[in-house]
Amino acid sequence: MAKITIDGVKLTVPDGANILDCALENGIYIPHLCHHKDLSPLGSCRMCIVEVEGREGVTPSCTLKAEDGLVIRTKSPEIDRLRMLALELLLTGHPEDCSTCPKYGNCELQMLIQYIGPKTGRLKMRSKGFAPEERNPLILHDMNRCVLCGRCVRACNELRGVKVLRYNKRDMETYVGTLHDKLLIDADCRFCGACAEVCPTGTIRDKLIATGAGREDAIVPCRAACPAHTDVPRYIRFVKQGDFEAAAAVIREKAPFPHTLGLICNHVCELKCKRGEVNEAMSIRGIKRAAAEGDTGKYWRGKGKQLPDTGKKVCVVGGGPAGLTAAYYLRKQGHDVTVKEALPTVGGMMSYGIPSYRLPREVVAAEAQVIADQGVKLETNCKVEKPVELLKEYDAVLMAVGTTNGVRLPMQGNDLPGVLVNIDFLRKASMGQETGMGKRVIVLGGGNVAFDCARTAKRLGAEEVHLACLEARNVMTADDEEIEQAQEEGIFVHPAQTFERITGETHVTGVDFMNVESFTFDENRRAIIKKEPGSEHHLDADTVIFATGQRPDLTPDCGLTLGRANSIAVTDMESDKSTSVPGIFAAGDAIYGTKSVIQAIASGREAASQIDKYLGGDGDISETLAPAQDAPAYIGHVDGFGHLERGKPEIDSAQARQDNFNQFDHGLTCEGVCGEAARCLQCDLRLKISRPHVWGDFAGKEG
Amino acid sequence: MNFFDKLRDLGVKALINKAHAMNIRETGLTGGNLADSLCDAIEQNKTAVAAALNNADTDMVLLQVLERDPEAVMRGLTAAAAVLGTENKTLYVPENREELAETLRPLAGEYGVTVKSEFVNVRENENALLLHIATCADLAHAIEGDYTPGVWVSVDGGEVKRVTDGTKISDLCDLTGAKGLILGYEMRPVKDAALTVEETNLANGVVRVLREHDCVVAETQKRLLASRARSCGKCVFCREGLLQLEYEHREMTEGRGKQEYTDFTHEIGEAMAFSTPCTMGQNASKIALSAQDSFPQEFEAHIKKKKCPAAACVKLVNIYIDPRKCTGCCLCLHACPHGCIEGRPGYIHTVDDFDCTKCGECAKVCRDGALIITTGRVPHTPQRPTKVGRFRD
Repeated sequence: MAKITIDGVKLTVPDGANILDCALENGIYIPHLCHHKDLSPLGSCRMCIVEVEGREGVTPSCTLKAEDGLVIRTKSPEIDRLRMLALELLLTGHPEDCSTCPKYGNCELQMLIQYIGPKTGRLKMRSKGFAPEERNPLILHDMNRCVLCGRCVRACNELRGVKVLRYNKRDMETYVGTLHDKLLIDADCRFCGACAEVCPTGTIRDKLIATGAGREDAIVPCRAACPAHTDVPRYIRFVKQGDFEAAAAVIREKAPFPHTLGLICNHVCELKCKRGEVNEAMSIRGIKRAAAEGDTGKYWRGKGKQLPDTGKKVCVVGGGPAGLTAAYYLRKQGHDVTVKEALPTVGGMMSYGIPSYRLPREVVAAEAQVIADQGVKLETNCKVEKPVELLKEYDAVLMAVGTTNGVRLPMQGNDLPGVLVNIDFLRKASMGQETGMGKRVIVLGGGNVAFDCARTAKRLGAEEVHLACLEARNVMTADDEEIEQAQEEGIFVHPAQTFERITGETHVTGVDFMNVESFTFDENRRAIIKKEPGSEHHLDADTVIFATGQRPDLTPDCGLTLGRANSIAVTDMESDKSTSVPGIFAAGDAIYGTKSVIQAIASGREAASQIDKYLGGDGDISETLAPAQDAPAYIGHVDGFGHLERGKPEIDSAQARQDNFNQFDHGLTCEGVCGEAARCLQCDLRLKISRPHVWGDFAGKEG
Repeated sequence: MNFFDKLRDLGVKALINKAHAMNIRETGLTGGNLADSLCDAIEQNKTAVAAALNNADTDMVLLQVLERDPEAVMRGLTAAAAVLGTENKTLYVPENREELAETLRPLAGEYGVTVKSEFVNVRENENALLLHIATCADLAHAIEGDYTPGVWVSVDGGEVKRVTDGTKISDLCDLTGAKGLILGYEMRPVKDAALTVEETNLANGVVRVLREHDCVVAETQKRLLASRARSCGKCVFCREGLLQLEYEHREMTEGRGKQEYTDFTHEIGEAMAFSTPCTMGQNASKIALSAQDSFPQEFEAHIKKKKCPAAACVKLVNIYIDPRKCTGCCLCLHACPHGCIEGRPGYIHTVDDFDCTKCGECAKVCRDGALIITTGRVPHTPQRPTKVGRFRD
């Protein structure tokens, strides 16, 4: 250790330590620009100059190494003069338009100017004349603003080892660019964002500007987009490292149905995946499935959290994803939990809605078993009519009844024999009961449930299956994958149609449609549909299936205040899931309408936390299951990284799959999974880069 | 006996002694004793040796030493590496000379030397002993026994030659009509020609005589521009300081110089010298500082009087056509790129001052010496078309 003195403050620091870092960490501000704690010192900007007793002149503190007895002064008239001159020179090539710069208020250079207050108007100013480079995905280069601190070059080369950014020179102007000025994707950029993170000015910027509270979410959008905030980059990295067990444990930290989600999650994470801006989004669901299928429970089975019994009793009404999740975490908090499920098995839509060719029932059963193993009591074939009465026996009740009533649109012929509704149809198909379907089927609706109906109809032997919806093809709410696979299976998809009437006297004979010219919403979010005149046409059918939404199967008799579309009214959808009756909470589709399994899980988790608090717990249901992860900052160079294509799952041909309920998507191959995981941009690594030390942070300490 | 055997037989100590005994001075900026540098490098545990020109060198005449006898440079580099006990040997040739690097590589391979065509990154070479190419050649000659104490010099851009110590600058060049000298990185008064080569730091081997028509300011601007072109641009003072100095000098040559520029040159130029880690930033401003110190009157003429005493700064001179000499041949009229010469065959031509850029193209083509470039006043010229021979004052 070395004893040094900076501005009269005595410090003991490691021998050879960087003096600038030592000062900053000990609350002594020295202005600096090219230096960044995580990067090697460069000493090019001359902002951090100091005087050392016994040595002539000034020296940059970033390249000065601690040795015993150093006496350092950070302020003197000569230091001030040289700093001011350095900054004055630096600014001659920087535009004077702070107020219109996107980095305004977050710019380290701007703060430096405020601190040093350089002379202005003496020297020649110039515009470097570089056009902003906006063609790259995610990252924007505005080299006119660059002051050549070189942080980005060091971040790209030393910290990340990607070696894309370099100093170039053209017409006497040095600038940061790529070899031969290639686009980032062609220079094998890994789009880790380290360059934008360390840039002190508005030169290298994220196209999606992220500051303040939303910063972390904007930097790692997959994790933020997931309703349960599953740590996507962390489990993808485990998969890349070949540790599927650890990856599954990461998923289990947030959701008790990893395998189910790996098969059917609506993966909003993938829609936000930054890799999608580069070429194709990560196959996050495919990776999750592989992790779940390669998992034996090494890190979580019998481990994890289980608080001692509290003696409190909770009843969860509804054994779908929301209810089971809430039950699981409530049990872990030590409560005595009973799930009451109306149908013969638990799982809700996972067992009776989503067809088994997408989600084999064994998968749901196995994951439900984990919940039962945790000590949750599951009572099936047990429909609750009067939830309020449960409070006599239980300390709290959670209503997670889902939406189990299909909606029939108000139109002529909607109650003719041969008209079916989505939920009933899918449930009967799941249970092997007679569905009442004929030979020619028209499904009305364009969401994933509509496709489940159409594809189920096909598999049950319908000769001709049509699907019609109001939305145009590009805005249909179903996944593209669903639409394409359905078409491969011979299902006719008719987007942009209005349903005029269901025809027939005693039984359905077909549906009259008109073409939609435009479909928009007015300022009150009311649909405005413009039909194409004279476009009436008719499709023959003997069966019509409504797949136009579901609602909770509740009546005002249940004793709870109901809200829009028959939902259970809660105080606040996110933060307070209490209902009109004290002690009764609600979660899942029953409060916000039909959404997704992952949304239900997130809602169930939140409800569990709130109920735990209601019962006197701390509401903290978080747990760490996965082992610590080694996430190297040095990600290295990968040839053609930006062009690596999204892994494709192995899928049975339409011929082989369209007449049975066998699972036909076999997921990514083993090598495919690792390759796919290696495509991840690892956006989360950026959060580990040190934040800059700016003058404002020290202002108070300096008095 | 081959060189490697000789090196091995000699051993480290003898090598240093040899350098010491022969008092080999380093070519380049340090100008110190090679034996001392080798000893220091051992003490500092340097793990590599690199041979290069100074980064500050924009004339690059000393590259001829390498081009003429590359083997000597390789051997000197190898010997220095042997002293440090390292195999890490790099030869840098200037960044725009990849073809030279390529021709040197086969030979370099024999000596285990890596050849790079790059500006020397001093930060990457922190652990290396940096030697001038010419110093390496000297060391090799010392080992071979044919070393003569002296320096390498190129006079007025001529071929590089070996000049023995004790030679005066005045012995090297013709000083008739000389008004100043460029010696190494500096501009000096003629009286400095009395100095010997070893008293003058000819780090880049350059000796140039400035004569009547050489403008000190324009010459300084040209050299600053060359430095800007070579500078890697990573350090603030080198990149931006050089740019400011070069702009100022350019403005002076164009009659737009300001009084405060003299102060700026000192303020920026002096700070540059100690605010950069490599020889480029440390030396590039020397030409401006020394020119101002040695030739204050030339700067004053440019800034205050807007005159170029050497009549070399085209923007500060006047061009006119002597009405008594013009033969009305139209050559200048066709040569003018800006169409500012008026006239027709057989008539006296005149220059329209308004658009004239003083490029001097007209003077180059005139066969009659009628185009006059002067720093003085322009006499009366015809106001209306006048036939050749009819002009009266």
